Amino acid sequence: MGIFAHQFYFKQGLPKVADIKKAFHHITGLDVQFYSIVHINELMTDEKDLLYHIRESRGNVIHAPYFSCLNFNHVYLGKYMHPGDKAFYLEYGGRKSNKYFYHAMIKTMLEVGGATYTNHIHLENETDECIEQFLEPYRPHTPFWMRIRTWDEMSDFEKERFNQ
Amino acid sequence: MSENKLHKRLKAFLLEIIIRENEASAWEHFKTLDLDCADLNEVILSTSFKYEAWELLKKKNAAMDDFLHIVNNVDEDNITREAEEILLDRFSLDNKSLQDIVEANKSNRAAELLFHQSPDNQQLIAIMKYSDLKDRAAAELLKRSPNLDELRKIIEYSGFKEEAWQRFIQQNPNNEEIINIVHYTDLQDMAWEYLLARQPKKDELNEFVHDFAETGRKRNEAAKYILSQRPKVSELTDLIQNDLQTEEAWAKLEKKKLKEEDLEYIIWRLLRQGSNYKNEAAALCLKFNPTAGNLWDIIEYTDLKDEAAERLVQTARLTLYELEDLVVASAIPSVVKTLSKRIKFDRSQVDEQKLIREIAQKVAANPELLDVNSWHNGEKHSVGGWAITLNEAGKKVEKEYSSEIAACLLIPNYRHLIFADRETVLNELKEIVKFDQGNTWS
Repeated sequence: MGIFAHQFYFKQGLPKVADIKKAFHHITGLDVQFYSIVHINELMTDEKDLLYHIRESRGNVIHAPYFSCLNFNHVYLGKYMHPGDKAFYLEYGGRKSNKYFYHAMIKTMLEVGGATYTNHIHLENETDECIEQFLEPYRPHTPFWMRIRTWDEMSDFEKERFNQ
Repeated sequence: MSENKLHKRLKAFLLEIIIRENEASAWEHFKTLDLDCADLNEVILSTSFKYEAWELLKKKNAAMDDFLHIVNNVDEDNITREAEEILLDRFSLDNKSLQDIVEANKSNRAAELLFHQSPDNQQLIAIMKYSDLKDRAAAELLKRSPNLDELRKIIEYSGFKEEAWQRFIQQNPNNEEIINIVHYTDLQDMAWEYLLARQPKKDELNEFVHDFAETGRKRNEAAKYILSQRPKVSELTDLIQNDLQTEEAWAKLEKKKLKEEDLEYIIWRLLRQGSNYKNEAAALCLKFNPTAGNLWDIIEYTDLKDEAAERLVQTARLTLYELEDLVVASAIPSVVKTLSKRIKFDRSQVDEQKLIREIAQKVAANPELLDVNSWHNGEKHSVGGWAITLNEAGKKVEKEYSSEIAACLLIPNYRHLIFADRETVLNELKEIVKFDQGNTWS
């Protein structure tokens, strides 16, 4: 399997880690941990937004910030950002095929105000107005997003679907 | 660490902060250090302190390369114009440097100097393209037996179009070179007629259909030509996908007998990449022998979900996950029957109408009980979630398999409400209640 990447744009600026953790827990019933090179110097990072972590980790590829949950593969914050302070990639190296965590992180970002836009469009230096015309609407009631729900309430059949 | 090394590191750190964060206090501190021209060039190139840095640079004994660097790389007219004046006034510039200034600043003064320094053909083209000395450069180039590409540039940029065109066709250009004249010059009509007279192959005109040059020129003319030359399925599909002569192209496509590779191409271009004819294309594909993959694409991308689902459930041995996907997309009776049989669910125990009425009444009485984004959320449920909650057999199916399967087997005729937005759901449930109150339920 290859590397999956999903690009997000936050018009109001990137979310705080604490808000991401709260939204993730609401969606999945699970706790997500966030690891960043910034932890070396700071104990409390939850109130910093993701942009802070991305900036601090820039140039440290092996120390890219990442999210971790149970024994799922980590989901990384990509270093590419267009535009610089409002967008980032979530990346997932699918060595194992269980994509529940990755999709739950995507849903979380959408729930905390992010919008997604098509991967092949590069919008470096574009204005908000220009980017907004490419944003895809988030429709949480549609089948794809309805599948991402509380982990403990899902049957084995439903969990296994994420290995398909 | 030596003081010199420390000084260099301090400059590098401050420069990093200035470039990344446009931090004014870092710039104020930076200015107090012993700055060289390269430091200032970095600030001019990459920060909002460029004007102040430019004033500082002018006071230094900057070299020709420093000013050339600014002309070639800085995106600020006032600074580059001033740098150009300094360069032309103070330095003796070679042809390459003058060419760079002409290209970067569209400078007539640099062009004039270059013109008198025996420019090569590429430099003459730069003068034609970027300065007002177009015709002088073109006349000089015409004296030098220009090649086809250079003649095209003369046609494109100068007033010697007719003469250059005559010289162009005397050199027996190929069709690709003529197409470039169509794309990029004012002689597009003349060149197009010349091209057609040579009866080009259809695939040579593909780039007009796809508008690879992004000029939008001769697209309809190319489409008409392709249509007149016994077009293949892929060519007709490309015309439709590109919105060119669509009615005629579609009429011809409908008469074709489609093979497997044709179906693949039509589905890829008109369904997956999108087209106004996607539903018509899906209907056409269904007349032939679409593969299971084709049918899944028809389900995903078109309104012909039920037709494709019917074909799929009749012809393919589907996994339970596939059946789940199918019932989510199209809960037609044959799919519901097959799925029920596979998981041994007895649908006769379900009164679908009674169930939806019960849901409608609950939600109409208290709309807060509806959460269309979650199957179950405490006391709130989606329509599908409510169906499961109100039916014991449904709960068992959900526990063993999934909410999707349970909900779609319980209320297949209301599948559209299981995944609809809140407004749609509320409106339709209200209609059901209203209908119910009119005592017209059976």
